[in-house]
Amino acid sequence: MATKTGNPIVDTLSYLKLSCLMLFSMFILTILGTLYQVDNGLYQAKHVFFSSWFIWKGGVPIFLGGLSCMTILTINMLVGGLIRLQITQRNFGVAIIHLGTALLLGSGMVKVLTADEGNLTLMEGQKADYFTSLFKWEIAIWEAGKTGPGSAVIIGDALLTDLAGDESRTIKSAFLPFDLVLSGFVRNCRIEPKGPMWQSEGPPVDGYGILKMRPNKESERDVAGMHVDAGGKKGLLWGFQREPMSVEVDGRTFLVDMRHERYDMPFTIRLEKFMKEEHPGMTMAKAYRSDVTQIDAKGNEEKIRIQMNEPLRSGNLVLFQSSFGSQAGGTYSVFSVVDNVSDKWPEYSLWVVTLGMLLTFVRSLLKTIDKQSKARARAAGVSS
Amino acid sequence: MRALVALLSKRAVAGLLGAFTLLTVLAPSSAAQDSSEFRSFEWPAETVELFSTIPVQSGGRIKPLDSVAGLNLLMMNGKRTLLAGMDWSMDEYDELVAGRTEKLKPSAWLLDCFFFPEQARAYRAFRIQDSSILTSIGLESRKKRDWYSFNELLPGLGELEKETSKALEVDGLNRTPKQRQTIKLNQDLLNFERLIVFLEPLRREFSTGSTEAMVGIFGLGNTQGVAGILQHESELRDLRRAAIPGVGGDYAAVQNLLRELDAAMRGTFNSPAIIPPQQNAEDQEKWWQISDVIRDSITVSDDHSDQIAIVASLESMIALRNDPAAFQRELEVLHGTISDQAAARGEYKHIEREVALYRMDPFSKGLYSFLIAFLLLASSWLLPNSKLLWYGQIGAAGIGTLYLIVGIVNRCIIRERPPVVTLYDTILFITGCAILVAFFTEWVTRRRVAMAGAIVVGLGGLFLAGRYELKEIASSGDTMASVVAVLDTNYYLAIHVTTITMGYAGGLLAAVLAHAWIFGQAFGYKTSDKGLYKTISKMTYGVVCFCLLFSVFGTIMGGIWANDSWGRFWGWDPKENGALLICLWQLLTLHMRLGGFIRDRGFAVMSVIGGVVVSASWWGVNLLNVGLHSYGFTSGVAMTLFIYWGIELLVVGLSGVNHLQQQSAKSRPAA
Repeated sequence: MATKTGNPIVDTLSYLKLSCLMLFSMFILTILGTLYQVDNGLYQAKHVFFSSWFIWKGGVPIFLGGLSCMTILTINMLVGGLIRLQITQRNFGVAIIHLGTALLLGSGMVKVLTADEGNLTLMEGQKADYFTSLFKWEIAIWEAGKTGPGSAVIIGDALLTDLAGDESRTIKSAFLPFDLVLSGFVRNCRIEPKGPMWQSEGPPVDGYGILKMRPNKESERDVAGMHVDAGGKKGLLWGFQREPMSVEVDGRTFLVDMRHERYDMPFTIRLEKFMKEEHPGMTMAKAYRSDVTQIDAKGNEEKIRIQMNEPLRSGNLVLFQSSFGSQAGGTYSVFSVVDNVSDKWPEYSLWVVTLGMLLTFVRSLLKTIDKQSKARARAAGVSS
Repeated sequence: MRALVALLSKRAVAGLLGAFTLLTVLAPSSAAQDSSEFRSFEWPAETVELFSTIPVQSGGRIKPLDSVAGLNLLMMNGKRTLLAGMDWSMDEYDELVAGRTEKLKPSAWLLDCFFFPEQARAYRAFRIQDSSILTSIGLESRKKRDWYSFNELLPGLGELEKETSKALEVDGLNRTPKQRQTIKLNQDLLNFERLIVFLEPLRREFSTGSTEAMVGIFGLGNTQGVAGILQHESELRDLRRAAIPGVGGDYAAVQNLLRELDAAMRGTFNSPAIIPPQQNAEDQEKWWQISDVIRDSITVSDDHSDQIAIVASLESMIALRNDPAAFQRELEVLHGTISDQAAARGEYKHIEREVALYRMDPFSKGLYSFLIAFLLLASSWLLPNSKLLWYGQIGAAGIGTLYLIVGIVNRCIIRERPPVVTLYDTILFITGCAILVAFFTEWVTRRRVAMAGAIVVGLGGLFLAGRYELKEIASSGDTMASVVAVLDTNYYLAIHVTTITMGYAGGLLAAVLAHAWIFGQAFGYKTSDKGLYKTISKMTYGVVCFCLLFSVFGTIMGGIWANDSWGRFWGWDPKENGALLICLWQLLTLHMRLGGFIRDRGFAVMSVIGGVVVSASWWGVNLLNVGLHSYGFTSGVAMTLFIYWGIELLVVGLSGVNHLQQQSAKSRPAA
């Protein structure tokens, strides 16, 4: 049992009442977030309830968000269960449980802060050495005809998404002979010829405006757009535009493109063959798999099969067979790709927590069985 | 008749079946008076037995014909047996009437569907739960709930199709019971049609004697059955290749024969695949339907003699159907051919086990055993010191549990999968686990409370399983259905799904035990025996710990599986959140108890709510139809769930009132 340390901060942070309050808050938060995603989709639910510090209503925080609850709970657990708890043989299992849970929550935190996630879609015969985010956007600027590493300026999602409404940001780079002014980011929109029946986000450019759309329940279907001023040339950027915007400066041509964030992989993947197997006489997929070639930086090739429940792991990078589809050119295979240093931590935490629970509960069970049999023996002795 | 055909044509246009099929299905109706269309004898037991173990590929797996029959009959009739008419004759209104009735086993009913389809159409095998469905499709109804024959429903098929289309436009969650039953009736009729048209190509004769070359192949006589034609497969293929369009009559004759065969095959494409292909199971997993044999024999230069032998047997059986002894001999040939070919492909090994499992019907027998146990339990409240009643409870509950375990184990062996794959499995497995944990708890505590809990769980669980079985069959056509790609892993099914459902079992058993505490206190049962209530509370605590252990293990293991299949450990998907809610609630309950914020009553109330949380995770989140666990989505259980939650709310309220009463009694000065 934990005893008071006399340090008010430690005592407060380790209160069992605080644990109960945070567990209950997480419980309520989980119910609300689950129901919220029925109408608003998973991405929005995560954004509003689980990946936020607070839940906001009309600019006022009305409840703790998932990050707050988990952080307070982790601190409470570490302080109460590991620091303040006087570890004895009796509560040794409890300490282990807390340690394992802290590792589990820690792995989640590491993933939120450091991991890159995205998709890689390949037709048979195609190859790629990068994957793209499903939700995050970036703006890339490069000089026409120049390719290769370091040849482009990339402005990531974090510098774009806060530019809603009149907010703007000026981007300066030694690489660019002009300043880039970005403004009016919209998460989901279309670029349409400006007509009298709708109000565009920001001023129209060359007769076109940004038509703001309601975010999709499946946020990967959202297409972002925003305004750009490249050295005086105004334009509209849109995630699905066919051609990048071009800017002429001093006889040089620069291209500006909005696209999903890209992450480099330390190797290249080429899809050799995609196979889908159905249950006999049905259209239900029984299995689907991709035969790929992994090509490292030195050009060494290795043939690998990626299928459901059997991903390709290489360092911290993991490729999963997640989906497939077909289009005019043939069948394509879709891989989920995650670059996460804490990929295996949950598995380690599972065994630690399980060990802790077994120590605690089995000990408690044996004690109960012993007590009960002694009580029965006593009762039998009395009756005889 | 013309109107009837018109109605059916509309239905055919709607894409349910080819128009030709429907016409061919209907055509014999006009000849219903032909006595050979009706069976005048009871199917011999050995015929039914042999027929039931013929393997067939249906719903993506190999199963015995007995299972196909049982599942279809259960779905349309509500029972696996059918009380059917025999000795048919015409009454004064030219209506068919049955002279007497017989109780048909599933395979006997399927024999009728295949070999006496006219008779099968006259069986009142379709259970209509709400007669207003019939009114809305323009048919007369009898009682509010009654059974109807295919022939009785036939005139309403066109309207039924329209009503079904309307019902399908409504989102699954918002469909009314009537809309759901309309869709189900339509599906039942379609399934029935697939069975009665199964042998349709083999009932026909095809033109084979129109040119010299054709006579050279098929001999004299203008027509032949399918088997007669296919026995000359190579000559027919040669003739087909040699015949030149526009030159001579051979081309036209071959084309005419192919057209006739094609027309006869239409509408049979969804019938059971009863013919194992020549290749081994790895190269060619899909079994053949009769239409596949016809098409392949005409177009592909392989030897199809094994497959054609099966077709020939089936054709002979149609001809011999009114001669039970000869029919039996031909059935033996058919059974031997199919089972040998299936065994050579390694696909016959579980057929007899599956037939035996359904014959044994362990879950119904288990339910009856628990019912007896419950009656003995109730009697023991009147005679608490009766050892006979106590041992009777143990015996009946033990037999019920044995049946349950036998059923679950056999399902595992047949599917070659761990015990929990579908929602139906979860009910059986959770019931079994909860009973075993309750037995163990009873062994530790010996207060007869956990045994009562085991009996209540066994009775409730097996009753629910029986009710849900129909829903499972209606949605996937089987209770051992094929699994989607992501579930095709025995490792994670065994570890994650099994452990998480063991967690559910613990949470529900804890709730049952907590009910005993609350009801006992509220109704004044041995309230002076503090030790009894302390023991119940300890039992509940132990079971909550069991729940937490398996829920946490199962939840994290689920995350590891998700990490391997979907690329993320945790995605806040509703099903994942459901599992998390159980963990959070049980952690909260244990921490509240640890901190002394709740005592025995509070612990009981929180355990009751824990049961609600488990039910929400088990069933509630499936109703949301959101997330990646789409293979677990279901509908039509919302009302049951809401009723359960409402009752639990009353139980919590009852405990609150009881608490206030006890407090006020304590504060009242002693008289």
